Amino acid sequence: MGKIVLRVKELYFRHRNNGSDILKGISFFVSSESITTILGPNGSGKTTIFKCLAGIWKYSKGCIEVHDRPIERLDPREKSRLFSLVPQEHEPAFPYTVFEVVLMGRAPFIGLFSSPKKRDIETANEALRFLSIEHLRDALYTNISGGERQLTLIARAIAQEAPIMLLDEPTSHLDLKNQIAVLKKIRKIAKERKITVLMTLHDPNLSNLFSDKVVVIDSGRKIAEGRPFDILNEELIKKVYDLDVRMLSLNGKRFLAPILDS
Amino acid sequence: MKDFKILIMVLSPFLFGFIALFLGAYGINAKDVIKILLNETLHVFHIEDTPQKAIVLDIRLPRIILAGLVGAALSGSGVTLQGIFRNPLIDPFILGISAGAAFGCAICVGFLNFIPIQLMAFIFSLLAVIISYNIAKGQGEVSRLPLILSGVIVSAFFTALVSIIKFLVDPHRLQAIVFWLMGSFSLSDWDSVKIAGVGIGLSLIPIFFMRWRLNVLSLGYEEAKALGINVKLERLLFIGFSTLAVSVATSLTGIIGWVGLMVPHLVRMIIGPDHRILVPLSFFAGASFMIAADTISRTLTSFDIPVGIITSISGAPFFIYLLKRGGKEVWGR
Repeated sequence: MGKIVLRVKELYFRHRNNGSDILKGISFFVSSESITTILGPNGSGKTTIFKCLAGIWKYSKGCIEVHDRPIERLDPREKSRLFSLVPQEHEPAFPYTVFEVVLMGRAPFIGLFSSPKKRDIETANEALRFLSIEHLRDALYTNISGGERQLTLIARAIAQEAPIMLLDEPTSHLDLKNQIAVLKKIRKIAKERKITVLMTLHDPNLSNLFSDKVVVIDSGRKIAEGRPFDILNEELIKKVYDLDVRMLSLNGKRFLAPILDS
Repeated sequence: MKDFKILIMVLSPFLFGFIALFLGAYGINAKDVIKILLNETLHVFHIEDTPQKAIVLDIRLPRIILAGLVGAALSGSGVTLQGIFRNPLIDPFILGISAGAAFGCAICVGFLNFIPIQLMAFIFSLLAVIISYNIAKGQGEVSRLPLILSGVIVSAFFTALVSIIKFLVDPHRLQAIVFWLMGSFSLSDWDSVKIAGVGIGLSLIPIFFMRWRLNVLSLGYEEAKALGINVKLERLLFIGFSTLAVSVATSLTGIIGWVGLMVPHLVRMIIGPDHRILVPLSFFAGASFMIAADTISRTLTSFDIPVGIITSISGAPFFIYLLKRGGKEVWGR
């Protein structure tokens, strides 16, 4: 783990027409070339943090700094060269091919009156190769599986060549096999391309298996922050998810198994 | 195969335009038409100034060129608006742009003759689209159905204003307004070709160069912003240029509906949604569609039927077909 690239300080957020705070003073930091997950149950504020980081929603108090620069001072283009964003997989308005979707990751480098050049096309192809999905190049994005779409969006983020990658629940619509496949690719990206990854997850076990650092939040407050080995335990799960679990060890890895009544 | 389709679409307006030169109410045999054309371009024969020559060069030719330009403008603005609003069911007509332009023109024709008609058309069509856009706009995102509904509202509003003008204006001018509202190329001359060439050129050329951006903008507000795009500014640019194209077209030929909806759809079905190819091909296909429609309208009967009627007759069933086929492609999620 390297130096701190992203720092969130005392972040507050509330919707314009709605009185109560959704984020109530969240602080954490992200180190370079590592995977950090924001873990929490549904409705805990994960997505809100994500939208604030992505600059889609404006937080009401606090600050977010990238390399010690507040992000509100960055214009969209500067920001898109620092952060790439992987949204949850979705249906676009028009049936683009996978390659056309990935090529859109080059937008930060292409002028308003210009189109992608050879270098942009090469970068997009390389992103497809890195994730081993070249065979999907000419397939329609609307016709492929959820896991493949998620990988396509990740390839688009790779083509963006930003040092920090934000992923919003990359596994939420996927079956177990695809969840693991996608998270393994994300780990490969962090390791081989030296990209700092920050993602939201709601499954503590996946968070435990795939992250260097976990930030646990609940009801808009940070509950814990640290290495998964140090902080993910039976009490924390009880507190955050209101669920009785037992910690099991298997091949040196720890798993949290729910205890069912009777 | 794809290259072949592209080639056909690019060549079609020129082919249609050439054929249309031979067709018309006044029978001129093909040999004479060719002689007149060769004389004009290469000066090989010398031909007296005959009525035939005037019909081919001063009536048919400008009319065909104007139809091509207006077709390209309507279709090009349709594909642009569909892209930025990520909504395959809209066009300048549905968004109220045409109605706004019609109101601007009607004011000029009826009362304020001294103001350039294109300027008034542009001001009111821009006003119309901005109202439609703002009614439908939620959190940065424009939802599909609300945009269509707000377009219907704005259209109805401006159409009502045009009716007031029709009611107030003196009967002599009323006839001109009514005929022009139906949409027709029957008054085309070289002056209107020049105005169309400049106005439509000034709007379609920037759209052509910015076309790849439409791919990114069609992802929606949040994603386009995350890809470093100043979404609000670029949407406004595209709206401005496509409105300019439509208002110039409307000021010259009246309201011609549905072209901006149908043509981009057909091209998208053939060539796919990538705006790098879709946009230029929509220009060409719009031009050939309009030349064909206008040729039908002036040769079908001994009257010159307003072409707007022809496009509406073909457009309404097409829209119903899109709605019925429905599903993901039309409504998305």
